[in-house]
Amino acid sequence: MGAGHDHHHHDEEPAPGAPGTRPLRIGIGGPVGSGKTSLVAALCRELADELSLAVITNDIFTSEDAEALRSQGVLPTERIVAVETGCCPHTAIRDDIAANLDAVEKLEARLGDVDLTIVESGGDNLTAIFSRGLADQQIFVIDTAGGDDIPRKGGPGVAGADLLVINKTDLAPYVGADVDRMIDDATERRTGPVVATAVTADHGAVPIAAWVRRCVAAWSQAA
Amino acid sequence: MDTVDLAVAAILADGRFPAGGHAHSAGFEAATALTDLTEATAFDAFLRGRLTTTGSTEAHLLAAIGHGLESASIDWSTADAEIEARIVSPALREVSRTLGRQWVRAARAVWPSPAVEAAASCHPAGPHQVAAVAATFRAAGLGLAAGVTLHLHHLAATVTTAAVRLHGLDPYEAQRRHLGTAAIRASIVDSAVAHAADPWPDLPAWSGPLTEICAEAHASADGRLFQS
Repeated sequence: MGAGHDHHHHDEEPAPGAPGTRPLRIGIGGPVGSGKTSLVAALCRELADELSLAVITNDIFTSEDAEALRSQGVLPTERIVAVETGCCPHTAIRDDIAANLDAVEKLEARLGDVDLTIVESGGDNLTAIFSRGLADQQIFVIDTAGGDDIPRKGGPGVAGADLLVINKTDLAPYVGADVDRMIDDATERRTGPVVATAVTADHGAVPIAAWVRRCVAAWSQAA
Repeated sequence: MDTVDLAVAAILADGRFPAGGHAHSAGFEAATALTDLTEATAFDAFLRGRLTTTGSTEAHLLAAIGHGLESASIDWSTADAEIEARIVSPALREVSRTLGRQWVRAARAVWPSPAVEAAASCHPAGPHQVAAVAATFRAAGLGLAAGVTLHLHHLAATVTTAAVRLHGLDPYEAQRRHLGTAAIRASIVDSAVAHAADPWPDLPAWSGPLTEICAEAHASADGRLFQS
């Protein structure tokens, strides 16, 4: 947590995953259909001109999300790799990160020049968080159409993610969701930032891309 | 086996040990996609077939490498080639090396040792699964019989879990049938340990042709949930 802030470093010597030893890795998690793949696509569009990007997807169904990203042309195909998770997406990002780490390291080594690796979790439940062994920073994506009581329910994703995104604010009036209440509830559950937006709208991902830029800058400065 | 050894073995037997196996079905998903293997009896037949063909081959290779490590006579390059020759499907060769790299990652963190490093560097793409597992078990202080027993346990448990996750097989029924293969597994362990010092060409190369064919189809199948 808090890459680049010395007071969070408890180890005496730099860990193998310390800043400067490899690219920053950001995990994107959240429930099914909340907009994780759309956010990855939007971040690629925002950042691909200034950063060298790699993307790992963890679909329940093989390479569905990887194919969606490839077909949108947001990144060259060779920069996107899919990892299967054996019916259990949260295990692959939290309890047993072996397959994801293997894929991340292979892709980073093959591309050689990566600044930022994005790992997109398969759609999961509110308890799913990324292991700190896999992601340096993590974004949890929920949406208004999934129910405006989700921030109040809390859970490790809502409470513990470095950035919480409340997506599909444009749909709120149609599904009877109270966005202000979602933000208030989320703020009570967590100390980190909350962004309410619609990532598929024009400039909808701009504040999230700005947060990612700050993470990348902090990571490279800490090197 | 004393109680400390048992505690170490328990860590390695635990499906929660992070070596990446949870994302694999040991060929069961591919077999069920191609044929109608959704009934408990079919699961049982697949499990027994898998154990007595490729499972037994893996067991003998594992014991041979373990013996080579114990007697400090291991030639990793030969071992790697002998394993490679016994995996017919290119897709399964890749899966085996992926799992090998993942075992090395876990072993380096938990039981760092020269055996693990030697296995890790035996091939640029990483060691095959049985090579990495043999080195890990050696580093953890497990004997040959215990190591082969654990490996076959993981193979059987992988198929069992996949059957429960993919087809909603009653987990109690699944575990009962898993238990039902204990005697088969024990006889494979006995054979593997008895032949651990045999020359490589004398070790078995039993294969499951349909398993290998299914694995090739699975590697490019749409909608798969398990890596293999």
